[in-house]
Amino acid sequence: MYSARYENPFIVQSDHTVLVEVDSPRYVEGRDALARFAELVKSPEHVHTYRITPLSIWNACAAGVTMEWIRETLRGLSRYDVPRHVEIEIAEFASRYGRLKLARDDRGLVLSISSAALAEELIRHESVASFLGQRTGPCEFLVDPAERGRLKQSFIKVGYPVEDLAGYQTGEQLEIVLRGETRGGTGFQLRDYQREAAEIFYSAGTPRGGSGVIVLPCGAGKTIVGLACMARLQTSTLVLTTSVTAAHQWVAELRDKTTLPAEAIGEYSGHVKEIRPVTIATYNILTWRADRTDAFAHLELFDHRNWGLIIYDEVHLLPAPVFQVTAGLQARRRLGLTATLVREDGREEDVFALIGPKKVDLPWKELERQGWIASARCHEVRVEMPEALRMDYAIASPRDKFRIASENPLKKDTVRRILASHPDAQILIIGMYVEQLSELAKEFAIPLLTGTTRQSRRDELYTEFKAGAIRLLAVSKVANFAVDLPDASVAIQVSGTFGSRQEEAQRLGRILRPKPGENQAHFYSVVSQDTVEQDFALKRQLFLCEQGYQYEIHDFEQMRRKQLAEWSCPELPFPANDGARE
Amino acid sequence: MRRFVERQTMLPLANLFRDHDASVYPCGEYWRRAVAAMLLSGRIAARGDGFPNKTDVNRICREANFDQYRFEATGRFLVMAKIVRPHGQGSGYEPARYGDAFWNHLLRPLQETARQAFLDLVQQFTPSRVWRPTSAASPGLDHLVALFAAAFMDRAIPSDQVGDVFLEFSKLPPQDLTDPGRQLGFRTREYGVSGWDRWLDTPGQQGLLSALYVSNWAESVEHRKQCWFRLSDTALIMLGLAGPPELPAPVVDLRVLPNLCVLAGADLPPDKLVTLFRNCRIRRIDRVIEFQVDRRRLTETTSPGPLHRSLCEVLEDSGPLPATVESLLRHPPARGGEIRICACSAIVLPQSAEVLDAIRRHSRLKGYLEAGAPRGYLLIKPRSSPGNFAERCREPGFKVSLLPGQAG
Repeated sequence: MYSARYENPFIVQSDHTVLVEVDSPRYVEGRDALARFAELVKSPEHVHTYRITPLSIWNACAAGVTMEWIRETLRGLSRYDVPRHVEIEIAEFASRYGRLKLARDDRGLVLSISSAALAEELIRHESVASFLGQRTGPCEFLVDPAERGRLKQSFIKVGYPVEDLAGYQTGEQLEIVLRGETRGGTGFQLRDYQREAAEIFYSAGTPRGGSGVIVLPCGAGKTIVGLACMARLQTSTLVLTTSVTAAHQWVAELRDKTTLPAEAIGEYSGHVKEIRPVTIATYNILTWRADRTDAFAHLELFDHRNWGLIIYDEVHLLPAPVFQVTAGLQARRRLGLTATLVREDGREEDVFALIGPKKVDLPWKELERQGWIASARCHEVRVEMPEALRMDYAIASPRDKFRIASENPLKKDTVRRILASHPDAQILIIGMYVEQLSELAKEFAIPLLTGTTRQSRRDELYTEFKAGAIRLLAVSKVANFAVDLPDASVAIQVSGTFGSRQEEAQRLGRILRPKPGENQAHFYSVVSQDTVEQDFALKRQLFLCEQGYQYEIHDFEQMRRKQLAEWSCPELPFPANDGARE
Repeated sequence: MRRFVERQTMLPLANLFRDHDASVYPCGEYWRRAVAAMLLSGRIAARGDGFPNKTDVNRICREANFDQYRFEATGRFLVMAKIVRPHGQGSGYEPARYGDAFWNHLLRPLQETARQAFLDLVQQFTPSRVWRPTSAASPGLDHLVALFAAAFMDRAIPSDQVGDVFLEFSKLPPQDLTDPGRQLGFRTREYGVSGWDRWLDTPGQQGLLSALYVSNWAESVEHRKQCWFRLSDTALIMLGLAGPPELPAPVVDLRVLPNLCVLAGADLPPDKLVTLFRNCRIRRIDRVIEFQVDRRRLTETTSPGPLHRSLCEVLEDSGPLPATVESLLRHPPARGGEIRICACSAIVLPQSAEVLDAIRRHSRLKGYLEAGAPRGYLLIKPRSSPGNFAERCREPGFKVSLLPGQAG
């Protein structure tokens, strides 16, 4: 019998997934090697799952990784033999990279195909043929520059990546230097992973870099990576963000950490329409139109200047019209930033084709270990439904059930206990239903921030919260994304958008900014026990579980029955319920 | 025989099958073990003829994203090879005579049963004709296949010609067939050269080829727009023409992950695999099989039952269970309680709001209910039987009684 190499971390499955044993002594070596040619699918405790896809292989090829290296890596780190067909298929994927090249010469954009036979085969695909221009040789076609994005998209769909060596427009020259000391007077320098991410994106200025997505946890400084890329490229930049608040934060960071003068930074939102060398716009204004039949008037912003770089903040939220425009912007450098490349609409492929491949993806726990984001303890607190509401809940429609469970009035007591157990912390109470939040805000006499709160009031509340003038803040889902509240160390989620994994991760992200002292954050999710809300909570937690976070489960009823002295976890307001959800 | 072979259109195997995995131990493939475990799991009923029920196979294959035709063929072979057999009392399957040999890779008994299964399959796939003997075993068609394999070793034949080549091969002078047979160690009384061609008319050729494919003794691959046929390594090993490869290292990993995923090596003991296939959702069949703990099934009963206990026993071998899995397996899920039924008006009075909610959400009970019940009550659809509803309510553990004044 063959002996298995049980100390090795990989198990290569026949469907091209690779299971990686985290407890293996060769895990770190394996993880670093695998990151070069496979995509991390999920990373719960013990076993991580990677997938080798044509895209991941093409990305690896683009970065100079050879097929032989991939084969030897898999063989050397696998516990069992690598299925032969997997090796052959990987070789087949790799052989496709570089067979189609898009370059620029005096005739314009030229697509060259490695062989006439392949050219004949490809032009017979209807989806591809329409994007090809005049045939100038057996293996050469002219390409309309306006179709560059769609051409690449369509070739990928038929299984052939186009190596885009046509380069980018340089954009307007703009001098941007990162400061060594912020305007506030504190020292500032890029962290290693931020510098590395910017270098990978820049790729020494070659056409091989310049477009792609950087995935970093909330609080890890994605904005700073954006600034570093801008400083590397020294060009005019259009930054697209999710909200005016986020836009203001970009403006503040640019002013604080770069040498850009204030007049070089503009805001393009519902209130202000400034177009300057660095312009921060919101997705909302770009996709605004007076009527459903009208054109998107503000999309012209993309052509207003000769942008050298476009940054898509929270790229997982990129709206469809912006995708369409982006297809026509392939000559400009594009950088996507996100913490969770999980699109609930499943358009990750479009992000790949139109923004670019994933360039950097750092696991959350990795940065937590290095101390760059706060260490977080996640708690699920289960609260009984009150007797009076039980029948209403039982006979309600599924949608109403979720709302009844989410607005469970007994959650108020739970929130009170949590607030009492963190007497000095900056605390966010986050919810989905404004009525529920209003009641809580009234009960605890705390300010409330919702979608209807004026922008000036929002800025005021955020500023006061950051300054410590207010310790508690109730926020609706307007604060889910791109809101920088560095001192918040406790978040209490009283309701959420059904089973949205991305929302759960983003909400946790609000408290992950590194904290002085113990660098510890607490995330409480208060759910009604034995209701649909508990089911949705499990789904919501999956992304974070896959990132290695643990949920401690607490039972409100259990807490009531037990004496304080018996509590297993005295520093917490609730006893842990037989362990943790990881 | 050599001249006959050289006359045929052939291709060296080296030009084909280059991407095939190295020869696998016979009946040791992960998917074959998975199919056997699925049959034994009780999720697939046996038809009257002993083969798997197609509706059940379709359902489980969709869940596992597994090729239904491969399942059917493998299931048929496993039944014929007496590795599993229809259950004596229930509708599923139970281990049969060669079950141990299959799970423990015992070659000799596997060879014995695979040859017999092949002959039985030929018999089953070939229509009766007056000129044919009644038993495929009597002319020893497995010996014909063995001689054919020896003659065409390392060569492939066009798939559309293979039936005729078999026929012509069987018509070679008896001496040309018995001499090589003797060299291979066949005893002449075990087979009848003269009877082979009677089994190889057109339907007979189809039957033979079907039996070869179902037994996994033959494979076909496309090369330059032509399909090529060859006898597989499994056939050579089962027929004694080649030795088995080294047994691969057993894949016996077992991991339970916090996201309710269970990873189980295909070489785990059958009782564990069967329990997992029976009680979990199947996500992927591979050398490490991926299961998902079925939250809905576990939470639809009113107290931890055999389902919870058996799963717990298997999963605990992997070490401490994650809290998510632990809480599902150990804590009573749905609220238990009583329901009272008024059979004539199909009104149901649950003991509490929790019981009412549990019934409304239960996958096997909610279909009985109709909208418009008075507050605190449930209403059974006019076309549904309250008796059936009551019976279904008892399965997850609800107590059922009649409202006062009702009979039946």
